[in-house]
Amino acid sequence: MAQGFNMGFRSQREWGWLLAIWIFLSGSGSGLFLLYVFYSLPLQFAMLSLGAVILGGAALLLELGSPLRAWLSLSRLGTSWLSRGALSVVLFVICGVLSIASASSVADFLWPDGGAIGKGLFGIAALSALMITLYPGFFLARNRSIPFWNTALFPVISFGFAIMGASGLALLASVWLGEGMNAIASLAAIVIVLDFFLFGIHLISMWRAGGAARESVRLLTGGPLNWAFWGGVVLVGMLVPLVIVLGTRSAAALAGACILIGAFFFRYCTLKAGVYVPAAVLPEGMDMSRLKRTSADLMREYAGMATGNANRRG
Amino acid sequence: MAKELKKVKWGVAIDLKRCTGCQSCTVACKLENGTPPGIFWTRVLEKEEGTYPFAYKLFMPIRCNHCSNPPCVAVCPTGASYVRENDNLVLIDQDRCIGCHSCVVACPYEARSIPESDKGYYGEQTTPYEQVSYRKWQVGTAQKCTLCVDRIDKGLNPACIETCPTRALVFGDLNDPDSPISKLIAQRSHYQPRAELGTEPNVFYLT
Repeated sequence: MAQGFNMGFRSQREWGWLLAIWIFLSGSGSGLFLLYVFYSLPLQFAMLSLGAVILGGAALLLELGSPLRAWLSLSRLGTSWLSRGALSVVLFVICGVLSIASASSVADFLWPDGGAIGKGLFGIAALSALMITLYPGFFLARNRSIPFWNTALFPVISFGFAIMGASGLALLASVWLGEGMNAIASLAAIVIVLDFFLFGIHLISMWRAGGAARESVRLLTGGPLNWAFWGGVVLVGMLVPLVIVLGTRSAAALAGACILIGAFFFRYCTLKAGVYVPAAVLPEGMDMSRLKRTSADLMREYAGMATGNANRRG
Repeated sequence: MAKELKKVKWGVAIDLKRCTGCQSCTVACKLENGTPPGIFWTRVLEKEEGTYPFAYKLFMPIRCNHCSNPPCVAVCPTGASYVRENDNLVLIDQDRCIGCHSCVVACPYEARSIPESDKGYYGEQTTPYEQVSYRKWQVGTAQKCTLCVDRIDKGLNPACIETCPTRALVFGDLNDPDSPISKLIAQRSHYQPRAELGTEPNVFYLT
């Protein structure tokens, strides 16, 4: 990473595609597990959910500079959202696999499906899934140096897009849905509309906030990220699938694919649009009068110096 | 919980009226710590202001602020980033860092970096000097200004402080009211960068 020598706005350059893939897959996957719980979807959806989280985990390991020490990330649960997220993922994968094994009668010889152990594992998996959908929003919002993330609304939006991605995954696998199809399609439409308004409010408030927050919005809507934002998030990710699920539900899989594209680009765009407030900005109201003289002041000063010099020479 | 009162609180005062933007501190840090290409533990930012013919440059040296409430330490999932017990130096345990980039993003002063390779300044082959200095850090883990902790422990000033030709940088114990840095801060108007974030930075800019 090359550090700059200018005082202007700089967006964070540490996180890009790999972290976006992780947050997208883990959010969509764990959200799908929540849909599996609340809509009593077929077991295949729980397996799909686990697969997405595990695949995302592989992307996260690639993101790490020293992946062989990843287990150490469980050691700061008190302060670090990443640590809490890592614990949730470990619990989700372990309890999710055992819970699926239990539900598919593979583990009947160990414990019965409806027994206390099976219910306990299922409950832990569901709670961990909820935590995985929630934590990335808090993880990013904790960064006080980046105002675009550091808002109370951001974790809500992040959760909303996780559920949107989950509905996209469910629609993509709509051949397994059966009677649950209408409920998931309705959920997708509601979540798309809600996310659209929440993110819209966020963008407007960030624009009005000015400074680095406004620069983030500029990057998204009129800067280098605008193709990914307008094309990927708004058009392909929200408007097209909304039209499909409100119109012909026979193309639910296509709507699901579009939603997934939108959910992914949302993660990518919001990560890349994280702009720092420049550390070197001088505080408002500070007396920098010696440095910030107007041209007229300087001209008067220079004229005075010239007169003084002439007098001394004379 | 009451905050633990440290015996020593190291700080740096930067006199913006004295800084000429010569980058001596940047180079001295490179020499002392052997940081890899593209990574600077301290650097002087520049900004042009005004218009021709009355244009001028503002210079602002930036570095790790060794904050009393460092956001980089709180976000670290492994405890690799820590505050030294006997003073306020924020350091990184290279053997615990997993390179998750959380601290790099969390630092409001953009003072942390993660080297992606151990290439030297002169191509694939590192110089003997680079081979020795690169032992201080690992590829893929976070690194930052240590305020030359080895020198401090020997009773010396950090390299950047020693080298500043205009004496724009002053280092010392902020807990000692008689130290030169404490006196300067008491006498001069100053500000702490991004103090509104609650980081309690220990770098003071004198204006």
